[in-house]
Amino acid sequence: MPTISLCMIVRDEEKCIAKCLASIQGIVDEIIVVDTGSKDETKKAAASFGAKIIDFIWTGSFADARNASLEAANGEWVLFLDADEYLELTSHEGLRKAVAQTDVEGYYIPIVNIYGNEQQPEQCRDILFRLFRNRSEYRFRGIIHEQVLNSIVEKDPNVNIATAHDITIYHYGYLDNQVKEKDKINRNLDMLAQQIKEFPEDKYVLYQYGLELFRAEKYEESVAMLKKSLAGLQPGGPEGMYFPKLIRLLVMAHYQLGRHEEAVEYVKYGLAIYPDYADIYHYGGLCFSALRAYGTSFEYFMKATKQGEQPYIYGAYPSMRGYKSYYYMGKICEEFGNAEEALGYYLTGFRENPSFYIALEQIIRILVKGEESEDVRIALANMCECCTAEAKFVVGRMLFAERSYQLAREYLEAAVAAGLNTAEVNICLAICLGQQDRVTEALRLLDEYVKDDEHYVRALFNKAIIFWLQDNAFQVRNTTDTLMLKGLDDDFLAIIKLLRARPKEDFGLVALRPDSSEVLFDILLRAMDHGEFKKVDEVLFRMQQAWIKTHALRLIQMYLRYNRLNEAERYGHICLGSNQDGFDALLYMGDIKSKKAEYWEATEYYRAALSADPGSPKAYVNLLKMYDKLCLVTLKMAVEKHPDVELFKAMLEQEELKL
Amino acid sequence: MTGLLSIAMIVKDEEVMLRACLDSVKEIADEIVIVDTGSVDRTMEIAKCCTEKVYSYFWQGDFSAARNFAIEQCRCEWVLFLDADERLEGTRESLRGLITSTTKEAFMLPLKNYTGPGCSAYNVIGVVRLFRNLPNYRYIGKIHEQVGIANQEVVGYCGYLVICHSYGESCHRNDKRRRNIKMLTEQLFCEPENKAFIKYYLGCEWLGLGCHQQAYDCFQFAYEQLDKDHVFFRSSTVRSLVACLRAMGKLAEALAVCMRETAVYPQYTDLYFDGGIVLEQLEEYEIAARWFKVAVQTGTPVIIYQHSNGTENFLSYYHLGHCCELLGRCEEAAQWYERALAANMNFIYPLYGLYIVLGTKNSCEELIRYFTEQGYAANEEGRLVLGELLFASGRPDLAAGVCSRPDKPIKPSNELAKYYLYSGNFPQALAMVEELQAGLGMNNAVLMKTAILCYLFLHDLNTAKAKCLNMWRYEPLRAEAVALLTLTKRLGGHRLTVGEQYKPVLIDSLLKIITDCARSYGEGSFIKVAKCCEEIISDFEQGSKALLAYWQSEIKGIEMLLDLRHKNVRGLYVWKRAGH
Repeated sequence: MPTISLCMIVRDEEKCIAKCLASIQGIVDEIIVVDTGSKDETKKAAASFGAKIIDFIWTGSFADARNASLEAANGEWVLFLDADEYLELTSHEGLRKAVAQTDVEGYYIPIVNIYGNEQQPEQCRDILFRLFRNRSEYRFRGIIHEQVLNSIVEKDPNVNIATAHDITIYHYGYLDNQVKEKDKINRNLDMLAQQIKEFPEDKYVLYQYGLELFRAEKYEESVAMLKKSLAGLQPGGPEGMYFPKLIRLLVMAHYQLGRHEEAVEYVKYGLAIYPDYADIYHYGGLCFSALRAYGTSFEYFMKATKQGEQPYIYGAYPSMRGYKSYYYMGKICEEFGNAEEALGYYLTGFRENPSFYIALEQIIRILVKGEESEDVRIALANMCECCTAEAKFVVGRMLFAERSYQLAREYLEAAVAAGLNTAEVNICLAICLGQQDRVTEALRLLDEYVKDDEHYVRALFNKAIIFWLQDNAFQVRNTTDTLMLKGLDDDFLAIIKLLRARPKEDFGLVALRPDSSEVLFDILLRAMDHGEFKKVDEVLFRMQQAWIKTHALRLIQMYLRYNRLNEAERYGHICLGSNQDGFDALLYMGDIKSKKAEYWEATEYYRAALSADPGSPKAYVNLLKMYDKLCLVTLKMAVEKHPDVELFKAMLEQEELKL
Repeated sequence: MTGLLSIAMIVKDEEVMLRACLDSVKEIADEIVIVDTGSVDRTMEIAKCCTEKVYSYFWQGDFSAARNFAIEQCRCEWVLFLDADERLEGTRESLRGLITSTTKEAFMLPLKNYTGPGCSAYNVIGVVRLFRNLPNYRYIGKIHEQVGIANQEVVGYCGYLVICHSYGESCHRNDKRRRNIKMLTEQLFCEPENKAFIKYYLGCEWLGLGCHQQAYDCFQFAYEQLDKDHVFFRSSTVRSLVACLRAMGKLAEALAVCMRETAVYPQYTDLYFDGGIVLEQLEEYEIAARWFKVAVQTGTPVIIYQHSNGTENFLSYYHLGHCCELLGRCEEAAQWYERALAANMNFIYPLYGLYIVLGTKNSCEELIRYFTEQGYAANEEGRLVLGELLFASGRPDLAAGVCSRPDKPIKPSNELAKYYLYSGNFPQALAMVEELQAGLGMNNAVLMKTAILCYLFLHDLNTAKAKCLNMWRYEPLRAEAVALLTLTKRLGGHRLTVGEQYKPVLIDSLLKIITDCARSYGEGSFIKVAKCCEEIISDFEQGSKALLAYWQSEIKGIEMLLDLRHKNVRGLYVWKRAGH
C-alpha cells in the first residue's frame, strides 16, 4: 500500500490534538506537525503519538506553514487534518482504497461539521480537498483559506480529482464549548483584506471574504464581495464546489439587510440550478414571510422539508429541511389565527429536536391559552419526557412565563425534587406558591434568599408583593422599609410607593420608564391572576395619563386576558383616541366585542383593522369568524321562528355536531 | 358629370340619427342624394334641410333596387353610400385627395360597428362603399346588398376614412333585426344558391336577439357549407359559432372549434382571443393566458377579417390580468391591468381588477393617491369606478371625497348622496337629494329611499314615516314604501303585518340596506338599523334563507381576497361553515 503522511499545522491545541492523532493511528505512516508557537502542552501530546514536530515562526501566511509541513513529508500521499478534527474509524478502509487508485491525483473528502450544544448537537455536511499525492510542484497558496488545488491543476489541467465517499472527517470546532473568541473573526478579516489586495480578482478569496464579513455582521460589505465573486462564475467546474454556498450566502446577506425582493431573486436563481437545495427553499420561505406572501412562504418551507439528503457541496444545515422550517410553518398558521394547525407544526419540530426550546415555548403558550389545566397537564406530559431536573425546570420556567402558576409550580417542585436547587428555581417556585395562597411556604423559600447578597433585592421585593396580594399592608410597609434602605433607582421606588399606598393617600401621579413598566405589569398581572381587580384599578388610578396612553395597548391585552371586557374596552377607546397602534387596537376592540357576543360591532372594528393594514391576514380571518357567528345566530333565530322548516333544523344540527 | 363626390343614402324613419349623419358629410360632399322609402316621421323634413335631392321611393322589398335608384340620381364622378345611423370620419382633403389621385375603381373602407356604449367596444369589418359612378357598378342582392365588382384588383383599401355605425337604441335594433330575419327567410327561397351566406346573416340577427339555439343552427349550416376561400364569411362564422356555443354552455365544443380554426387562420387574432375566453371560463387560467399572449403577439389582423377592437391589446391585457389574479399572481396581474389601461384609458374594467389586486397590500388612501398619480381618476368614469370600489371597501367617506373633488360647485349624483349617507354626513346627503329631486323629479325611488334612510339613521322616525307615506302614494313605488315603513315602525317598536305581495320587495330592499350598512363608516346608528332589518327579514322563511345566503356571500368575498395572496394555505382559512 502507498505510504501516507499526515500533515498538520497547530498552535495551542493540547485539548483536541490527542483525539485527532488517535484516530489515524495505524493508517498513516508518518505524522508531521508544524507548530507555529504553542505555549501549552501541544508539542508534548503530539510527540507522544510519534509525531515529527517542526517549530515554525509564524509569517502571517497559512500557506507558508502548510508548505513547511509538505516539505517535510516523505509519504507518497499527504492527508491534512486540523487539530479539532478526527478521522472516522470506519474510514480507514476507505483511505486505503483511495490511495491505491493509480489514476487519481487527489481527493475531496466529505466532512461533517458538528455544531450547536453538546446535549443535542447538529451536523452540517460539507466537502473539502484534503488528500493528494506528494509532489514537489504541489504547494499551497494564500495567506488565509489557503488552496493547493490551483497548483495541481496548473501542472495538468486534465488532472483526475475524485471524491472519496467512504472516508469521513469529523470537525467539532464549531461546538458551543469550542467556539473561539471574536478576535478570530477580526484576525481573519485582516488576513483576507490583505489577500484581496494581492489577488483582487480571485473569486474564491472574494467568497471567503464575503463569508467572514457576514460572520462579522457587516452585511453591506459582504454583499459587495459576494456579488463580485458571483460575477461571471459558472456552476460547474472547480467553482462548483462553493457555488451553492455562495448563492445561499447571498440570499442570507440580502435577507439580513432587509432587501427581501433581491433575496428572492437569488433564491429563484439558486433553485433553478439546484432544485433540491433545501436551505434555499427555507430562506425563500423567510423572505416571502417578510414580504407577507404567506401562501408562497408556506409552499417554500414545505418544499424545504420534502427535500432528501443533501449533496455535500451544498454544505446544508439539516435543520433547514427539518425543525426550523416546521417552526416557521407554525408561525404562518398563527398569522391566520389557526392555533390548532400551528401546534401540530411546532410539535413536529420539537419532536425532531427536543433542544429546540423556542418551539416548546410556542407549544406551551398555545396550550395554556386553551385554559383547561387538566388537559394542559396531560398534553404536556405526552409531548415531552422531562427526565432530567434541567428539563423539568425548563418546562416549569416556560409555564411560569405564561403565568400558568399551578402547573408551573408542579414542574418546578419536580425539578427541585430531582436535585436542581438554584435560586432561579426556588424564587419562581415561591412566586407560584404565593399565587396559590400557600403564603407560609412561599415566604419561607424567599427568606432563604434574603440572606443571599445576590438575590436579596429580588427576594425581598417578591415578599412585599406577596404581602400586598394578601392585603397585609403592615407587612408590606415592613418589608419595603427594609428594601428601601438599599439604594434603589427612582422608578423602583415609585413602584414600591404604589404597593405601600394607603387608599386616600395622594402623592401625585406616577410615570415609569419602559423597563420599569415591565416590572409593574408583572405585578398587575399577578394581581389579576389572583383575582384582585380592584387593586389593579387602584394602582392604575395613580398613573399619569401620558403613561396610560403609551401603554394602553398592553392594558387592553391584560384585561382581555382575564376577560375583564369593559375595562379592556375603556382602554381600547383611549388607544384609538390617541391614534397609536391603530391596527392592533382595532383588532383587540373586535376581539372584545366578539367576546361580548356583539358580532355586528366586532365586524366594524375588524373591517377598520383590515382597512388600516390590508396586508395582514389577521383581520380577514377574524372577519370570517364573525360572519360565521352571525350566520349561526341567524340560523338559531330561523329555527326558533320557523320551527316547521326542516332545512333550518338540519343545518343547525350539522353545526352543533361540529362543536 | 358635375362634381367629384355624391353621398347617396336610402332611409326610412330615421329622424333621430339622420342629422348627425348629414352633419358628418356636409363639408365633404358635392351633392347629397337621399332616397326615402316611406318614412312617416320627420325624416324627409330633416333631409330637405340639407339637400334638395330628396326622393320618395316606393318600397318593393328590394334594397338593391332602392340603392340603384339612388345611384341613378347621382351626378358626381364618385358615389359614397352611407346609412342614416352611420357617420363618416375623415377630412374633405383626404377623401378628395384619395379619389382624384387613384386608378382604382372602388374602395373598401373600415366600418366600426359599435357593440356597446362607450367608444371602445366595436367591431371592424371592411365594406365597399365608395366607387366610381359608372353604369356597370350597381348593387346586387335584395338584402345585404353588395356592389357588383367582378375584378377585385380594381378595389382599393383606405384605412383613414372610417364609417362609424352607432350603437343605437335597443328597441330599434331589435325591431330592425326581426324585420331582417323576415326578409332573409324569404330570400332563402329566392336565392337558394346563396343559402350559406344568407344563413350566416340570419345567424347574426338571431345572435343579436339572443336566440342562441337558432343562431347556432344557422351558423352551423354556414360553417359546413362555406368554402375556406370565403375568408371573411367563414372566419366570421367561426367566431359567431364559438359565441353561440359559449352562450349555450358548450365550452368544450367551443374550445375545439377555436383550436381547429386557429390552424386554418393563424393570423386571426380574434380567434386566439375567443379561445382564451373559453379557457378562462373553463378555469384553465395558465393555458388561457398563453392564448391571450398569442393574440397580443399576432396584432391587428388584416381588414378581410372581422375584428373586435382591443383583442390585440387592451382586451387581451385585461383578461391576462384577470387570469393572473385568479392564479394568485398579484404583481403580474397589476402589470397587465395597467398595460390595458395604458392601451385604452376609456376601457375602465381593468380599474376594478387593479384596485382589488393592489388593495391586498395598500390602504385605501394609498390607492387613491396611486390612482390619481397614474391619471386613472382623471375622467368622470374613472372617478365613478373608484368611488364604487372605495364604498365596497367600506370607506364611503373617501368615496365621497373622490367623487366630489374636482368640481366646484359639486356636481350632484345618486352615488355621491349614498356616500354622504353612509359616511354619516346626513345634512350633505339630504341637501344632495333635494338638489337631485329638483332635476329628476319627486317620484324618484332611489332618492326617496336615500332621504328616508337619512332620517332613520338620525332616528327621526316621524319624518321618516311621513316620507314613507308620501312614497306610498306613487303606485309603482308602493312595495318599496311598505318595506321602508315596516322598518320605520319596527325601529319604533311596532310590528307591521305585511301583505304577501310585498314580501319579495321587502326582503330585497332590507337586505340591500344591510349590505350597505356593512360598508358604512363613521357616526350613525347603522348597526341598529341593520339589526332591525335582520329581525324583520328573519320573520319570513324566505327572508331567513336570504340572510343565510347573504352571510355566505360575504364569507366568499373575504375568502377570495385572501386567495389573491395566500391561495396555497387556503386550508388555514377555509373551513366547513354554518349555513352551507
